[in-house]
Amino acid sequence: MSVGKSVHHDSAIGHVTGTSVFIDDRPRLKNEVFVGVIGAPVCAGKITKIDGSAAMKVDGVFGVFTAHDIPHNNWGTIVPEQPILAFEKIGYIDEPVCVIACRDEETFNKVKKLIKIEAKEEKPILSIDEAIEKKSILCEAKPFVRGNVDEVLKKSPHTLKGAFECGGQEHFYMESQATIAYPLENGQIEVHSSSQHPTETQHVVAHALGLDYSQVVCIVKRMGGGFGGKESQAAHFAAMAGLVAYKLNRPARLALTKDDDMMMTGKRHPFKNFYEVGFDDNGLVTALKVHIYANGGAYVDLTPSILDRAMFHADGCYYLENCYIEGKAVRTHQHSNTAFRGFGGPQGNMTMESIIEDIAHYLKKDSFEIRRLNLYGKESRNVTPYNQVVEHNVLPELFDKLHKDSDYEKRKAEIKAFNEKKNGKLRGLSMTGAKFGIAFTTKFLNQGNALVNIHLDGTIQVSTGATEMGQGVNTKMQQIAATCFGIPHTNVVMMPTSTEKNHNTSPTAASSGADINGGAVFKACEDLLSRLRWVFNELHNSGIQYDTIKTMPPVDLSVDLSHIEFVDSMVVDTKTKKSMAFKDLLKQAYLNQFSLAGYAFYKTPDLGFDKNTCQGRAFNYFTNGAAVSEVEIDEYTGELKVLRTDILMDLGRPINPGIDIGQVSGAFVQGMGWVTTENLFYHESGKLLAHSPTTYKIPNIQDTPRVFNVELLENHTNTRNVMRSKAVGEPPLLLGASVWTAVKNALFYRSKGEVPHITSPATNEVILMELNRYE
Amino acid sequence: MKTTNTITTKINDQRVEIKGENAFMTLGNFLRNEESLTGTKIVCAEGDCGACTVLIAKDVDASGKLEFKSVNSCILPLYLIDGAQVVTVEGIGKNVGMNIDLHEVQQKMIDHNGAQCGYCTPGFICAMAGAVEKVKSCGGTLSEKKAKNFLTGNLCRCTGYQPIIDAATSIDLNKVELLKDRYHSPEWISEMKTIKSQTVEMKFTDKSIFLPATLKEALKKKSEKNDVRLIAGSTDIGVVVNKGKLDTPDTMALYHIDELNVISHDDQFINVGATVTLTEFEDYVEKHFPEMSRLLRIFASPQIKNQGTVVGNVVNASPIADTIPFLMVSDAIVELESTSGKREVVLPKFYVGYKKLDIKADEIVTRVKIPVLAKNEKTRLYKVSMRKDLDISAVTFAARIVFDGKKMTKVSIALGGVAATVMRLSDIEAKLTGKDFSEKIFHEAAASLDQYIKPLSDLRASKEYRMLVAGNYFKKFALEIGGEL
Repeated sequence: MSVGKSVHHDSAIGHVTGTSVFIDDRPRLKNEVFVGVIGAPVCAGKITKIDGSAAMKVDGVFGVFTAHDIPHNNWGTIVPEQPILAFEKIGYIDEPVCVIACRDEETFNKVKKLIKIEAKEEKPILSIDEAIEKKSILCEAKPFVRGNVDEVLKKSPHTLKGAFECGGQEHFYMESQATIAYPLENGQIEVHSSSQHPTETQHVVAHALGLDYSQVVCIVKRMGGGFGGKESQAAHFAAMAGLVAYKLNRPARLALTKDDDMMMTGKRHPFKNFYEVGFDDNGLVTALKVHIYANGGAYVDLTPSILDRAMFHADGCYYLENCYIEGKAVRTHQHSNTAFRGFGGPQGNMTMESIIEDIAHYLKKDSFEIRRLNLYGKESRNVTPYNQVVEHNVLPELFDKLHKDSDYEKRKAEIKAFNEKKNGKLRGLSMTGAKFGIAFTTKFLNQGNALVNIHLDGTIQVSTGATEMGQGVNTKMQQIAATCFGIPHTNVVMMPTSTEKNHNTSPTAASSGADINGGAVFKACEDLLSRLRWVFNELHNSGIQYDTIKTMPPVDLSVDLSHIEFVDSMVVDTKTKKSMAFKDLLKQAYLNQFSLAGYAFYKTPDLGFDKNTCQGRAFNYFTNGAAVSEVEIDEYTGELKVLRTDILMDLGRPINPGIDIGQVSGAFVQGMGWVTTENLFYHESGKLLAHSPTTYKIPNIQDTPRVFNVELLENHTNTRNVMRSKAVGEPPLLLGASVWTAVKNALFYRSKGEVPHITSPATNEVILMELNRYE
Repeated sequence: MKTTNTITTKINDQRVEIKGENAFMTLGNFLRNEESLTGTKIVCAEGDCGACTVLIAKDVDASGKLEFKSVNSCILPLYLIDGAQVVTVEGIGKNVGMNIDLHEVQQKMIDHNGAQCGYCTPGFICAMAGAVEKVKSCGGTLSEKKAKNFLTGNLCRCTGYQPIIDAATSIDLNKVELLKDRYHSPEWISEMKTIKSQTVEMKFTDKSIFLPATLKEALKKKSEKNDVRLIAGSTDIGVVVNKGKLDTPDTMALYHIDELNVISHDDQFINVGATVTLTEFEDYVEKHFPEMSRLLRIFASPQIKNQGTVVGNVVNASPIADTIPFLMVSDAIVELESTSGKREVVLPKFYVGYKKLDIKADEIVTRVKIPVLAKNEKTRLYKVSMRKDLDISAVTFAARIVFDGKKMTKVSIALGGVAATVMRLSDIEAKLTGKDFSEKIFHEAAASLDQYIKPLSDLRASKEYRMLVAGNYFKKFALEIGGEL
């Protein structure tokens, strides 16, 4: 059985030999053109003139296109309000304003200075505080309310009030936004895009150009990383390439440089969350009031859903008997912020983890003790603020096991002794958790479809709406199909994602790729299996001869044939012990005119969150995890090292433990980067100055925790998902917060009893300035 | 002296000749666009992510075989690989048609799930293969520490690096057939020597390339054409050109000049020629002056160090350059040469203002002479940046003190990142000279710093932070030195 084994990634050989093909690796066609994008010169204002005439005179320039050239210049996943190319109003600096079609990138670099964009500048809004003051609200969400918060807060023995603030984060997928549009015959266009959402890309391209959806096919072979950055924001770049292809009737390639990509595309939302928390002498939270503010940037994009998820995760792993959780997103003159692994969840979760750390410092207790005390219970204290019961809750055993396995108490004592030495180094230790809700909170997105084609040699091609961005979703589906038919996983080939095979698909997002699409693959395989079992039964048990080719009666699904099993490339009737090779059965099925294609539709069952009452089953299940991080600070410079991290994750029964552990370590380090070195630095005028790896620092190989243990908890209780697995993509990112709370813990040793107050990311500078405050 | 107008190289064992303006292309773009070798990826185009890493051999090692080193192909112009042999990710395994026989590093990356999205993977494979070439040739092993150092120049956004570290440390060196053996060809090595002994001159309507074979030719060119752009490793110029901030119409690369590619020492000085790379410098001092090499560990990635030069770092004159503070407190000397003769300038005097040097229009910096550290000296070099490794400094600090017992007979202190140039703190030096060492006087010096420096705020740090760190470095230095006295 392939499921449960750590088979290697289905593209592994291609990746290590450089033969995997990404968008910009596609061979250049003779008549192909390069599409360069020019951005807005100011943060806010109106475009008064775009003059491309000088550029048009240069040899190798074939066209300069603006908003005026696009039949329908609007897009947006939730609200179609965003221009593909800015028309008059400028939403943010470097927002795409016009595209140049030219011979090659070199020509573009030469002529881009010749494009004259004039604008009437206005004063931009550049921060959450400013936006709140100017009432620049992008959207609001209904609050989650339980109990009487104000009353309880008044009566609480202790209260703490403050604001948790975290910065945005650049996705830094290695492959920047890229797309090629090929004009086909009869007005059709084939778009190859580095997109997490081929269906939306197809729709946006078609809509922009005034084509029918059926005239556009979007194909995604793979992405060089996505992390949410290509969920919504691949689409308008595809539309720009589509526009050029449509206008010139030539293949059009758009591949942004890293600098342009970072300046033009949205990022993780910065948040500022104001809170008041009440607690007793032991640290048990009695009431929590939170006002969440997300910086949506210039356009709506996916912000409302991200805000929702931040609210859904503001409880962290902790039961809140009385709570009031309110959310608003503000509109600013910055790149339109978008999906990023965790999708608001990390910002909500970290707020609560920060509060818990503060309670511990305030009470001069250890933060693990406070966490353990407030953790969701198994039989009681197990209902979320939105009234969903946390079923099969593993958090208590997860926290306890990690506490023990990581030697928490012993190390805490060692750290205390170490810090007393005052040798210029300061250490801290902290554990945080994750209880991540799995399902799109937009209910209708929880659907997928799959096509499974069995070939007569016993090998299989599978196509789904899932897109491969490195996370191994294709490998997992390969394993699911192989397990269903009892064949080696190498006999299953995952085909490029294409909207002509799988349409009306959801983005590969919300960690749900393998859940939804794997569910559909499983159903398609089940359909095929029932047909094949019936053929086997007819051949062996109904007296039909192998060599008598005649049309069989249609499949009778009321007959229970589950005793016919598919194992080791054989088909075996466990009752009669009769068997035949899988391949031979396929041949018989074919000769007897049975379809060897399976197509299935899957939707996540039983979701029922009511947006009006803010109550109900928002999630199919929760993926849980916890991490303990130990950090060391250089007291002269504020430099931070992560000495050790131990992670324990609950992933149900993993389909591929090797791939999942890679997801855990990758997500953790990405989360760690967000809370430490990844600082989006803007000029006071609003321009992003950190727009390349020289100026924006994602973790490097030396930053990975010196000791890094990742373990998976054994858990067979998740019956709500394919093969009893659990989703893995986003949840471990939340655990990066443990590094940040460990910094707080370290600072507490020097803060002279004060509750340390730092923002995220905790850069060297943030840390040193806080240390300096204690002097 | 023979002059040609062709760049000759070998890419994955195929001989390639480049004529015409393509010689200005970067190796990365050439591989992808002209050779259809799209395994090499271009991500940042500034030598800071490693996705474009390939191996090049410009020289032979002690065994007479090609010495393959990792470089960033995105900032390497083709004219700098004249006579070099290139191996890309496509040439790491043994490929026959569509059939691939994997190299050990490739196999281990697969076994340990070292590749997720796959975009950084070819760069990692090449950097790892480069590590294996060096480590196995020296008879060592690829420890975790070494593996991380060799892979410092490669960013990965998917794996969190742990699977890659696991892959690297599980490599069985016995199973590795070294590229220098697989691609060994005495004919090519002899041709390589011939190519490098030739002068290359390529002229186009609006630009030209000149690769003189001798210093004499180079000096003549510089005196005739003062504004010719000098190139050593191109690790800095390559970035500026890629970002559209500089055009290099007339270029002279020093790379064929043997006499500039020499590092040597005598009783007084280590002499570092203009084209000696940072790797060569590091290896040399590690062998001859180990205490000095410790100071240089914080510098850049292997890819940059394999291409960039010490002299390049000096003449680029950045206020946040990593070698300058150290060279400045060492009283290093810059040697300049023109057709009319040689002269020497001591380093602090070489810097006149922001990126302004004491250099005449017809002069070339031929070498840097670094005084050898004496036994009674204490030297430290500190650097802080946003990220510990592979990052540009926010503040640098270097101090060198000559002791006579407890008495400080000579004090040299330099700070970088706090002014338009790296600066020596001569007033503080004067105050400390002749005094007995104590932590207290360094704390006093730290407190007086605001009289001498006025740092600026930028994206790397605020002026307040820079001020604070500069002072703290005095305290740190005093604490460390105090412990050793």
